[in-house]
Amino acid sequence: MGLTVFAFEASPPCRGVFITLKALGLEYELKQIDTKAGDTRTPEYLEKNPQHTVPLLEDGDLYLAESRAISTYLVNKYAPDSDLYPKDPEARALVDSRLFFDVGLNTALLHILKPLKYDGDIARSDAAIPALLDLINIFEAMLAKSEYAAGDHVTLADLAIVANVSTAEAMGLDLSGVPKVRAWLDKIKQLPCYEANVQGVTQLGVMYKEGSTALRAKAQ
Amino acid sequence: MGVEIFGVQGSPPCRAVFLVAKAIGLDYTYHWVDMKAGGTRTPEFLKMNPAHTVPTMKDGDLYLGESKAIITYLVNKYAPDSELYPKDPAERAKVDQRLHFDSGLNVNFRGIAFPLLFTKSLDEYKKNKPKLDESLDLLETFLGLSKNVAGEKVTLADLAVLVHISTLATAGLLGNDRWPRINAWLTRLQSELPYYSANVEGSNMLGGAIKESLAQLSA
Repeated sequence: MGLTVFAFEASPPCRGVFITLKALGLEYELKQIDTKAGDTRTPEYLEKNPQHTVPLLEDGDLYLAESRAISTYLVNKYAPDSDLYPKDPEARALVDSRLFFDVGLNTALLHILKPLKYDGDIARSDAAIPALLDLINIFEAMLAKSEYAAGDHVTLADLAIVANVSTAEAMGLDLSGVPKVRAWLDKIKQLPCYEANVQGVTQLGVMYKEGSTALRAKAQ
Repeated sequence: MGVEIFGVQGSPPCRAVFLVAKAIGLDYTYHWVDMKAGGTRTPEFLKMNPAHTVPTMKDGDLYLGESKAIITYLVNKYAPDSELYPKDPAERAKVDQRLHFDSGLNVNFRGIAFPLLFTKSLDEYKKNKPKLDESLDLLETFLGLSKNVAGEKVTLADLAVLVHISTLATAGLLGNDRWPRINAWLTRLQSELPYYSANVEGSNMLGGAIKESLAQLSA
């Protein structure tokens, strides 16, 4: 039957999974989900995923939510010797640590995007920007210790974090104070698997810029 | 030197680490961090963990932040055959999935704890409470699908979640009417797990402080 991913392209965690699937050379079927239209709240969807979130992976009888659990599963199951998620406990722990750090990045991003998407509340959206930039500053400090997010080569940590950091860039947020992050972003963009991120991040960037500009103008 | 854990007793993520270390019989050195005095912002601490959070772990040259990365590391390294973190990819993924759910639970837990304990804002507490309740509703659903949080056996997912739930129960925020399964699961684990004592001091302390603060602010 193969892999199925329930997702929408703009969503950063969905893109994290797309990038990983491409990096591993895995085929999958994409089922488009419109959260605003209630696609994640139908009885059928809730049975597969009571968390009513995207992305969701279907692999035979297994239904798996949580993008980073999906990515680590894909390596463990289909490419267990891959450098993307090393087996050595110390190296793996560093990747895991950065994956959980990435949860914070995504949460901070959502605090900017959700008020815009669902409430048109530009004040609350703008007020959430410093918290995201704080976390990006922390990532800058992390990159002082290693060339990539979790060591000296590309891992799942880079593939997850890039979905969020590329979004911050596409939104036009101020990344002038984080040269290591910008250099890292340029490196990750060169990877063939990054292509899976492009359409969605462009979409989200445009949506944010147009939406926020319009609301700020209205507020004047 | 062995494994060193930097943290505080009250913090739920720190207690997850204490629980897991005790569960696998791992000795470690505990360093209490004076967070109020800025203990996570010193140059020494930031060198260990630029994210300035607790828990932080040191094991030789390895420095780790993020409680869930720490607990999975401890099992992978020191108890790789433990049932707490199964090796089968699909079974492990189910545990990982719930560990990530726990990250959301932690955010929502902080959403009510911070206003009550630090900013003393009853309004902020009331605004954020529904989000915590939603996380609890999801956990209630999960416990209807399997005996424990990620399946039939106790895993790291149970321990990560347990430290939040025990605190909420002590704080009086885990109504049995709405969350009977969670309450039953909590009672069972409290008596069943031989290592549960590692959670008690911090849970009682933090839960008690939350309960008291809520009473004061509501008066």
